[in-house]
Amino acid sequence: MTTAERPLSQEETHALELLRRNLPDQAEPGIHLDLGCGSVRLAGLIGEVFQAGYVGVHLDDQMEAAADEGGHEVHHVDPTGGQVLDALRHVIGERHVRSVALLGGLTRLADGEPLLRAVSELLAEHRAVAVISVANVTHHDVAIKALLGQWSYTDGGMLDISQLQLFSSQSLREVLRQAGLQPIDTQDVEAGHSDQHFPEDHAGLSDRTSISQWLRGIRADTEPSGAVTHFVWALTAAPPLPGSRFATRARAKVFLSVLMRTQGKRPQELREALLCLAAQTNRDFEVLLVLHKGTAEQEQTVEEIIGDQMDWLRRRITLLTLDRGPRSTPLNHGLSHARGRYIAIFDDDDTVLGTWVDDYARLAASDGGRLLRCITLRQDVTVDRVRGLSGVRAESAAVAAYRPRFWLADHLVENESPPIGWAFPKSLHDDFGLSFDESMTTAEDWDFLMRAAQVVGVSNTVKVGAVYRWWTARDSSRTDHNYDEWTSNMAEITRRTDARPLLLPAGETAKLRKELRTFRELQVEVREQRQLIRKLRAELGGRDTLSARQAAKTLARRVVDKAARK
Amino acid sequence: MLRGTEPARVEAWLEALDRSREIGRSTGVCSGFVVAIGDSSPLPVLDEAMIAGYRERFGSIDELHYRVFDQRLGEAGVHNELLGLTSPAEHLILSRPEVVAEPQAIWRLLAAFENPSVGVVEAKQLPLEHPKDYETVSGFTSWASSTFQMTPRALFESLGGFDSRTFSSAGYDVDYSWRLKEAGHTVVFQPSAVVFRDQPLDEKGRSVVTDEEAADAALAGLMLAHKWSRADVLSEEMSQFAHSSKEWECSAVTEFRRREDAGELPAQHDPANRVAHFEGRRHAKHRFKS
Repeated sequence: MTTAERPLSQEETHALELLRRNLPDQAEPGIHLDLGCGSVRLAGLIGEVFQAGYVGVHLDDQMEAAADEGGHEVHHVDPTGGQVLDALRHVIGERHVRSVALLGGLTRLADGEPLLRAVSELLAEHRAVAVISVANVTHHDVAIKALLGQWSYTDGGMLDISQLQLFSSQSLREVLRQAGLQPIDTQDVEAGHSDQHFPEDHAGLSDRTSISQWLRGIRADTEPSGAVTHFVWALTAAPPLPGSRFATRARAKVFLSVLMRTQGKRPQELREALLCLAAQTNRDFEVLLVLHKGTAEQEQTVEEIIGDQMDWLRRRITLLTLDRGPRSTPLNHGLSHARGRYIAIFDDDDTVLGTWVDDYARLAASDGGRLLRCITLRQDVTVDRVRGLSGVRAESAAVAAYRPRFWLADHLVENESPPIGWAFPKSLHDDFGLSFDESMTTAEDWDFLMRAAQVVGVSNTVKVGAVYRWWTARDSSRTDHNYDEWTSNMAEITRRTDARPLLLPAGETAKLRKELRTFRELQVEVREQRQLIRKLRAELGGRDTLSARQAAKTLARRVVDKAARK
Repeated sequence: MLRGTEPARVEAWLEALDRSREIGRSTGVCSGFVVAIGDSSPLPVLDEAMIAGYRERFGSIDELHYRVFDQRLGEAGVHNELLGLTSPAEHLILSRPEVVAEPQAIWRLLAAFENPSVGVVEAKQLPLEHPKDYETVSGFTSWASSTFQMTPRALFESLGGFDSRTFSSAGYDVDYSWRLKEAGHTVVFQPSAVVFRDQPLDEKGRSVVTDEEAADAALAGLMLAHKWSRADVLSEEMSQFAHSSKEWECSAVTEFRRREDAGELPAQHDPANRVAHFEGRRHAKHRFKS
């Protein structure tokens, strides 16, 4: 079968669809410039649908034969030199370029940057659109096997042996943006089973195995192209973004980014929260204070409070305003501006101890990468007015209402970790794609914690670090959202947790084993006592009370004996 | 008063006071601000170079004084001695050196003295406030803690300052508050004026108190019960302490008896029990058990 006789590939079909969607209907006639001749089999369709003449440009010798089969206009350009733009302009001549294609060619170049920059210039000059297709080296089938030390080049396909550069969605986007190309539309090719899905019975590739489900779940949280075999994108010209061709990430400027949500309605509480930060023994932190849906007056109040702070603290505070979204949106908004290695949530109505930051920093020194958790006390509080000034009044002692150590299994039942009591590595957001679910109107922190704790594990300071305030006579998230809403959100968290394999940290199975054993023993005991009670009831029916008293003594003795035998 | 206080804590305390002073100056409510530090540590915490550095760095503070005292002199005595360094201040702030004051705290305390009957105003402590009760609206309470309180200088002087002969580092603030009340003044708690004072806590959130602090508190409890004419409270505490397994409680009884034998007990006040407030070992009604 010749090249021309083979059916169109999905890449080619998707490329055509992108052109159909993004080329203007009423445009001056022109040419379709096919770099690499990867869309030569679309030449006829392109001419028919878009009234664009086909011009192919070889980028290497292997393309030549395929292009010549149709008798189309083809040229050869060296894509690596600094003259590639001039060479392409020479090929184009006086003609108008309507579209450019680079299907599969980019990965065959050791350095595609000169060609991409040239494409950017041409798109800008001709107000044209480009389509590009690039294999996705991070497809599930490739990534899972790579994790197991397996790497299989093939003749054709995602890991074609001829490829000189490999791309993920992120790296492709960065390369394009640095060259002055902006994706405007996508029609990626997806396949649950790609051409790398072999051997057929590979347990890691089956979507029914626990390891595969867990890894795919993590991947889906991070970014959505796990099942994409080829990125097929439409591009337009854009100002090039500065950046390095080699992946770099600037070192975090500060240890801890403190995300503080406020609505500007509780100035005294905000003052108290900032005072806690002013008293920190470790000042390696920044504060992202997000004013959520505040009025101009509330914004002014917040600015005045910030203005009152000591100079060193004032310089560490960035005020962000946000007028949309539920309560989780300000967290994501703050997260997008955070520069810290770790992130902590400190709402404006809680308090922390003076070593809160330092305790986390010390723990991070040995357990960096893990979620950090301190002991959180809970205290009932209310608001009060004394001599015309608002104040916060404690109504109860601060008690240890939450377990001092984190157990993931405990959190399956309920949240034992108020957000004021933990900090998470920013890498969870940057590298694992975790953010606060904005579809959840409450319990968004519990949802995040369940996902985060599985991925990175939790280390405990085992020191009191924070006080979670339980507002008894004032609006709070508990009262702003009704019971049904809380129940619904918690049910969703449970559903999500139940839908995936669960990764328990090392050591937790011992606790679970002990608790399950105790539970089963208690089940047996309850069963026996029920039988005894039934027997006693039967005896009581028609017998005098003296016998009932004797029966009760018998029961009590049996319970004591059983306990003694344990 | 410093007693082995870490210099970093002193610096943080001064930094916050400096900012407060800046605000006071900018709003026109404060014409002068003097800080006096008394050090009765076994070894002085600060030296002249550090003090000079603080004076330069915290330039909003008009005067900064530092005096070293005999380590046997308790907080009450140090505060009394420092009084001489603070003229012509109208109001005194008695403060522990490890607190960090919220920028508006001092000015909110000051506002209470618009009512001339107020004798002393106490700031609320974070992260854990004292459990003693106070009245809503008026803020009236039994006694004001010297962790951070403000009182008119003239009043402090007229009452002879703190009773440093009777009290060392505990109980003197309770005694001062009751003497103010006896003289017809009020004691106010202002929760809107906030200071941060970190205290070591155990895993269950309970304060960890040093033996020295416990000893001071035990003896102060006995002296307060005697001075404020509560023979019943004194008798009960003496009985409990005498049979206690805690060494400092037994020592408190021994010291009380020594002073009693030596005629060193203070003159008694409030024979009709109208001023002082005792609830068990507490000197105020508490909102909750801490």
